[in-house]
Amino acid sequence: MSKVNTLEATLSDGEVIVTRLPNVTETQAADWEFSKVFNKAIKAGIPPRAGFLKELMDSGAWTQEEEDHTVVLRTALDAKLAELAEARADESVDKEAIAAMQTEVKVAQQALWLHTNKLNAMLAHTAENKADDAKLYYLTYTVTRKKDGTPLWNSIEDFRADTNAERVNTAMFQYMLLQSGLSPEKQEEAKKQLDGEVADSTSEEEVTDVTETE
Amino acid sequence: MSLKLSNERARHLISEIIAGQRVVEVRNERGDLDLMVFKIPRHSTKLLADLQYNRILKRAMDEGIQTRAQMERMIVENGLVDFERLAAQELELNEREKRTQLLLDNCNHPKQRKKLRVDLRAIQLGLSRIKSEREKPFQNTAENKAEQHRTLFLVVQGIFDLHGNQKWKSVEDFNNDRRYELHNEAIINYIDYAGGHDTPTIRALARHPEWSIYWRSAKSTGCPVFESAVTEWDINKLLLVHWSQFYEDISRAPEPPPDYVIEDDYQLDKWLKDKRIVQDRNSRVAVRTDGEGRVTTTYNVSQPFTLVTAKEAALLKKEKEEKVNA
Repeated sequence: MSKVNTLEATLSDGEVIVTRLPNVTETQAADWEFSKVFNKAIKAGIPPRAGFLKELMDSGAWTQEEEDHTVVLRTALDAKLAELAEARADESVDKEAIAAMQTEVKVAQQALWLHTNKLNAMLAHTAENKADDAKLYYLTYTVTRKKDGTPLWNSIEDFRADTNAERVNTAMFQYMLLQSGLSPEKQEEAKKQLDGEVADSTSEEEVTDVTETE
Repeated sequence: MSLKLSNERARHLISEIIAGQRVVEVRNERGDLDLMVFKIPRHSTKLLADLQYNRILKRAMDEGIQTRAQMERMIVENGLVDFERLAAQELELNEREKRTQLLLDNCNHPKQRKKLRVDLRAIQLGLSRIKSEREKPFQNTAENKAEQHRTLFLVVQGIFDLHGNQKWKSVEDFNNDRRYELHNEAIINYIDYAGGHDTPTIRALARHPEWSIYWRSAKSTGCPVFESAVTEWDINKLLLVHWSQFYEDISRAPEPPPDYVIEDDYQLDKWLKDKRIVQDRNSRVAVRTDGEGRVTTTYNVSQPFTLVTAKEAALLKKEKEEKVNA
């Protein structure tokens, strides 16, 4: 099955935006952005993930039992991944058995994700998350084009200053959708869901980044 | 249990190693297969890649990206890594790994061995995650950025089409080609190739009858086993020669191990270790004496490794003891 490389969306004002996957150099540049923001955030006193997790545990917002359960779920996931790798290396294991194991891996991943969801939400203000956001903004800016192929924003600063929430959100969503590796059908489904949500959104927000915290 | 290669697989790997290249089928966006020829970069290309590394390193530092040394300080000062938690997890996994390995070494039941192998793999996954968590901040260093660029440069320089032309003339050319899926596949496969085969594969190949024909023919005729100069050999060629010589030495030992031991990497290493212990015991006999012949110091002399039989070892030991007593 061939994968989708570009996505197109028409905004409520008729503007068409096209999103493509980043190339290797663009990904490297985004990693560069991540590192710069991460370093800057740490210097600005934003706590790193490891430090913040300790604080959350000290305050009881994330308990030792919850952390222990994370380890249990991660160990279970490792066991499933190991089983799958062993089966892949064994020529006598048929495709159906491998497909069943892949499903088990997904189930274990899902269980871990559901359990850590609450923690990840609490860790949204760590240096790593600020850097992740910066990377996402950079990639969204660099891979989003107008219909004629010209850049939608002239610079990352233009992107950050864009007050058109629909355009910014749609561009980010399209990029995340492309990056997710979902099938075109699933992407279409997700897009329909977003269309409803974007239509509901009336507030105009600016994209914030770590530089604002300094 | 060690890796077993079918004749067909062994022949294929031998051809790859002799040719110093690998032909890879990579699926592109349209689902079609694209043929690529991977070659290990020459020394001159590696030098150019080093230049690229230095250039990017400087740029990253100029842009305020931390060096590895600065990051080390930052980790300590800002608690970027919870070393205590990771160390506790690592300790537990290390102990589980030891226990599982011990069980695996002493288990002959195929089903149980398989289960233990899966357990071991899962533990190793956990250990590598801990290692990666500990290393994560270093991904944000200038050295890491420079390394990424060097790797991409080498990938672009090392991939050819079937006619021997470089698939992409430059990194820019590579980027302008928008076949992303193909890029990812090409990079992953090329890095896997350029790292060389793993040791179990090379060892299996070195003792494989298909390779032994080449090895023995080269030895008996005095012809070089590979065409180019040794300095131009890639890691696969170097390791294959190393392990071929190893198995030849083993087979020429006065009391070589049985075939089933030779075929099993773990058992052969254990056999070799036992032999070394015998030799080690002998080598400890080397002593320094004072003017009146009294022993003052005993040395653990490391001699070049030679395989001896248990009988020879005992004889050697006796001779040395007699010398000491004399």
